[in-house]
Amino acid sequence: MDPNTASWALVVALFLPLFGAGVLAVMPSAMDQTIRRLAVVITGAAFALVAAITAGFDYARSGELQFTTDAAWISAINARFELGIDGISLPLFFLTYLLTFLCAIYTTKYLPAPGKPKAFLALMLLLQTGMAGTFVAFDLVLFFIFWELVLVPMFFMIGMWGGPRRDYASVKFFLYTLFGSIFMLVAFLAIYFQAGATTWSIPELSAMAPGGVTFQTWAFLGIFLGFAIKVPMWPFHTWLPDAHTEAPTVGSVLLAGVLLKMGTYGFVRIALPILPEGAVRFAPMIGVLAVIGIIYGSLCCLAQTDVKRLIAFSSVGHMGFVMLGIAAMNEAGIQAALFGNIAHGVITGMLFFLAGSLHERYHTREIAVIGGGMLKKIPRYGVLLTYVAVASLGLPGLAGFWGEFTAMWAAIQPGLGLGDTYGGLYLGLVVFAALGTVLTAGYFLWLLQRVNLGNPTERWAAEPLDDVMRIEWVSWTPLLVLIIALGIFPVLIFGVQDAAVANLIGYLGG
Amino acid sequence: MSPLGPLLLATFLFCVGIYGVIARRNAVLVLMSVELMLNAVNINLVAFQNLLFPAEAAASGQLFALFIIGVAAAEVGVGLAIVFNMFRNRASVDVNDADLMRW
Amino acid sequence: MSVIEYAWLVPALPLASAVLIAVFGKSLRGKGSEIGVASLGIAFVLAAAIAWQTFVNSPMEPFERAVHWAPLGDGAVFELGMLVDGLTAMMFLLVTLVSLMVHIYSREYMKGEPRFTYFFTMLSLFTFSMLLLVIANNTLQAIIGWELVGLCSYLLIGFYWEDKSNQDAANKAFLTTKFGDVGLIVGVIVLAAGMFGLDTATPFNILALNEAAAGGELAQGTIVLGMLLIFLGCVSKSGQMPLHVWLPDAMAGPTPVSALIHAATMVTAGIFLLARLYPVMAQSAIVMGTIAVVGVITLFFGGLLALVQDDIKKVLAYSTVSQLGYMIAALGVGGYTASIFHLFTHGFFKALLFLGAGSLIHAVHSNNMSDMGGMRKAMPHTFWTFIVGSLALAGFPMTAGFFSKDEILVSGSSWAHDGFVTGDLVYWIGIAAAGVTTFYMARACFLIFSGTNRSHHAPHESGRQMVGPLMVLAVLSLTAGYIGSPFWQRPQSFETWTATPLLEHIGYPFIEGSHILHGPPSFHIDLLAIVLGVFFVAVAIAYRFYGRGLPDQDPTSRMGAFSRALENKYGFDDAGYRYVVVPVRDTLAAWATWTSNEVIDRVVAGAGRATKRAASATYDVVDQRVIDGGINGAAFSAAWWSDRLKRLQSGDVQRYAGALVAGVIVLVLAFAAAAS
Repeated sequence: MDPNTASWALVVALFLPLFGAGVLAVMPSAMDQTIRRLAVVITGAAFALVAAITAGFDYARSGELQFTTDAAWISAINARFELGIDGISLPLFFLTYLLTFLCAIYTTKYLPAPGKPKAFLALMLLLQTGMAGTFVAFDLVLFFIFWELVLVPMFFMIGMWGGPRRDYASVKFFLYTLFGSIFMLVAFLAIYFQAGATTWSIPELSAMAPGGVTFQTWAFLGIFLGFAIKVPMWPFHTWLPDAHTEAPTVGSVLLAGVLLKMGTYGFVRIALPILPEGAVRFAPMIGVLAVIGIIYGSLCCLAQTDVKRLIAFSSVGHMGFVMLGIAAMNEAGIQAALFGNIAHGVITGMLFFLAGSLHERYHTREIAVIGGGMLKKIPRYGVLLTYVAVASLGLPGLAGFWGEFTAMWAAIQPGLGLGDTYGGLYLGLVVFAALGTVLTAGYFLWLLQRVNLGNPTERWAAEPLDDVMRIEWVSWTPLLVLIIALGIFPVLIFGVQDAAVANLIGYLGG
Repeated sequence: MSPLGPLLLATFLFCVGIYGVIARRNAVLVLMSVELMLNAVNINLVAFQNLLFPAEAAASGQLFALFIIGVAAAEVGVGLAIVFNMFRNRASVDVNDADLMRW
Repeated sequence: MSVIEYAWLVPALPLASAVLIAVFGKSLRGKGSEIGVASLGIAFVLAAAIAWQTFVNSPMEPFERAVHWAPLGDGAVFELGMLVDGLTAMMFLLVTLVSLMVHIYSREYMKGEPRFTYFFTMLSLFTFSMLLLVIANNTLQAIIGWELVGLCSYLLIGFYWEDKSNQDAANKAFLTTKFGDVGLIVGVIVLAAGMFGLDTATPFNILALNEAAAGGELAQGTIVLGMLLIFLGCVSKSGQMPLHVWLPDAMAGPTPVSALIHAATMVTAGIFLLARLYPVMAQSAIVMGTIAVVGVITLFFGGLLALVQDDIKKVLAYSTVSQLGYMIAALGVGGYTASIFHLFTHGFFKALLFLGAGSLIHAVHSNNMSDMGGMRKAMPHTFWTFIVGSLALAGFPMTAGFFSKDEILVSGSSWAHDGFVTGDLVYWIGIAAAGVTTFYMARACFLIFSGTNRSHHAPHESGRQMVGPLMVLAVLSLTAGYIGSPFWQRPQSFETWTATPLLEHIGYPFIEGSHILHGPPSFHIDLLAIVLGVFFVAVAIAYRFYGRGLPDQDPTSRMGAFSRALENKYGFDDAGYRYVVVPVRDTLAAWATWTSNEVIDRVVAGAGRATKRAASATYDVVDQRVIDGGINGAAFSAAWWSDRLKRLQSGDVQRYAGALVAGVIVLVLAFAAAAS
């Protein structure tokens, strides 16, 4: 597939799920199994197409946009339909299609009350288009539309298929995120007019870097609110545990695996290159909030009694490392952030799958109720939990390590002159971030000790519980393989991103 | 020939008709009053034709009167049918009972 | 050079073995153990060849090969590489040999275990990780190996994970060392960042780092900060006080694991790493001093703790702490060669002692020396190998431990000549601690082998696969010291083997005209006399109390406050639990959750509620009363009027007709009036 001519592939891949959602919507809802299989076929086809795009991608020019489409769209406001993919977008784009595909496979067996696979899968496909579009849209208006498009299906996924407090969680998720988006939209408008009201194109605006320091600072503040809530950074994180705890398994996987990444991606793609001066002024604050998030999220994890809520809080800590990388404002930092993004998506997505399957078996997620002995009771599941938990705590050789280590390595020598002014602060940040890894190890090992090790309690000793089932193996194996593959071959991500990140730093003037 | 006589007759008949239409309760009588008013008009038409255009061969006043007679016959047919239906439904032909179109 | 180019095979073989055992192990006759033994055997042969090559050519330029593994941004590259010099070769030899012995030994020791195959997978994986650390040509790769050995250690300490105490021990080990890793990681980053100023693509490269530091290109502050942080990692990994607390607990793992990981190899990783970065560390008197002091404290107080232990493995664990203290202290007083020499010999005799202890435990089904006694007759091979190991550990003349420990003491005294008080500390406290070592080992030997059998089993000698490794290690414990002794007359010795050209040429910048290498060892009759004297006094005291078996009350527990302090392990464990674990896990974590739920979320929810309240106020007042009031008012007035007016619509046709007539009359009159 030629990256110069095959731009149709990207458009088709992007809108295939939307089309699929339409197809599912007109199917009679009685055809339960057919609908589920059809969703697997649709997401599978989309994934195959994205795999072909990945294969056809010209890695020698990974810094440039490829598979580009640039068509007039809303000419009244100069908004264009501008799509493309580069080394920064590609891994996230790939991950989106992979995770959705796996979620569709998983849903052929597991779907929480009230069932209704037609509605659920149609929403999931709609969500897929929204998520994927965010990563390939290069027009601010288009980006914003995809960004907001994501909210609606996720709102319904949590609100209809969620746990007992789903109403609260879904409304909180929707409103909190929307609240941030508004400021972001205002900032987008401000940027548009500041740049002469001629273009919304992200590459063009990046080259312009409109406005002076004051303008950039205020505009960055607006964008910061939008993205920081999505990431989420401390102290904007409180929607996350609620949303995760209540969301259905598939919702949690996509939420952790892709939705959170939209925030960090936005920072890297939009906030930094378009508003470099604002970014530099905000960087130390972002760094401090990120490290608070690392320590704080880990501490919160130690206090959780619900497995899924614990995993949700762990996201706060891990995304803290990602943001620490961004705060470093240099190539290594952006590399680390984007690697951390993917690693967190794969690992935490997998952890949420595991938490979901845990609930299917034990019908509870309370650590104390499970009471240990999973390695005895369901050994394969126990081994998988250990494996993924160890990956999540950042063991070298598995995916989690590179994002964390490189973020710290980047933060010790922040770019854009930050090192001269804030060198001591950043050294402190690195030390505290490293301490955060100890806490991370602490809560994961404690979790493993309490649910995995020991003998099963009386309540479960005689209960017949299924070990990992075939459908779970099918939907999990790609993630399990990715975890170790990315750990051993970090070049899979670092290498793809390298040129694109260098370009980006060029915009920052570093 | 003075037009006074036919005009006075027509006026009288018309007034009787108006009175009947406004004051009588019986629907049949109201219809008959309407006929009176139409005939008053017919008298006027014939009278003015003869008075104003005696030489005209077309005699449009008379023709008009003939039309009106025809229309009146049709109108009575329809009107009596309504009255008949009203009687069938309400056992009464009193127009005061037919006030369904009020607020 | 030919063999050295294949040095990467040495770590690769155990890795392949781990994978193969994991995949095929269960279906094989030996349940996978034969794969482990075979691959370690090949690795050992290769390591021996490499050792030979490096030894006969020593001192030689380090051999370095690396591939670009991943770009890290800003032009920096993570390399996967190998750095082979004498130090690497020495570690190769030690690790592969001990690992091979442990693999063979475990075939019998672990027989019948339900997780036999898993055990061998982990053993091989550990060996790979350790060798990955050893072969690393850059600090980042070293971190990877370092953390992986930590994971293997965690998994093997918790091998019997059904018991809570074992789980706790595993967690304690992992978290304590992970805490040290904070120092290691930040330290490596600090040093690498310092290197980055020198415009290099490989800021983690060890050789470049050493050369830059030795050339004075690194800022002193960077060196001090970086090395002290790295030393923190070594403190935790190599069981230095006060982070040694995990090591005795780590004895919860199977005994072969204790021998391999917690005696011979993993715990020496800290010493190895400091030796690797010795030219950096040698730049700063502060760093050297700190390291020496920590080492001295550990070698003495760690050794004392062994006095009151009844569990044979705990005795050995504390003695490991103490011996690691010797190595660290030696590094701190300029005894580079002495330190890694002790690392080398200690690996053999401590592995021997642990495996011997395992043989005893296998026989009596108890770790406690109070359950042993009289084992000399029942287990003759275990007996004599254990005695050899004890003698080497106690530094009895002409054993391996004697030469290496002597070298450390000599380093201390020459450091003292250069005017550093840490040299005196190492010398005198080192001698005192040697007495302590001798005493507790003598106590252990008497309690185990003399007197009568106190166990509830009929003890029997272990089989060939267990005794064989004991004998091999015993021979090495006696002989391995000769290549570093004054008797060794060849131009190549342990010192030249583990030296590099860089080390040969540089000295300590804070001492005029100093050299890092001390030259060939010489005889120190005075030291020999003191050591012998201390040895015999200590053995005599031990014989006085324990010579006839277990006393009614152990004298080491009859020394009042001193005994209590030792039995409480100086309170470190309690303090660590009470002042670190509990506050973090229970208080801080609860506080964080509380603030998350009650403060931050309250703010969010409060903002939500306030918005809601503002909204309902707006709705009630503005919308409902003012705006909607106006709209409704219009509608209501229309309704009121229409209610009045509707009465005209009576439905009475005659009234309408009347009105019509009246209207016509009025109009006619009006027109008439208008016309006139």
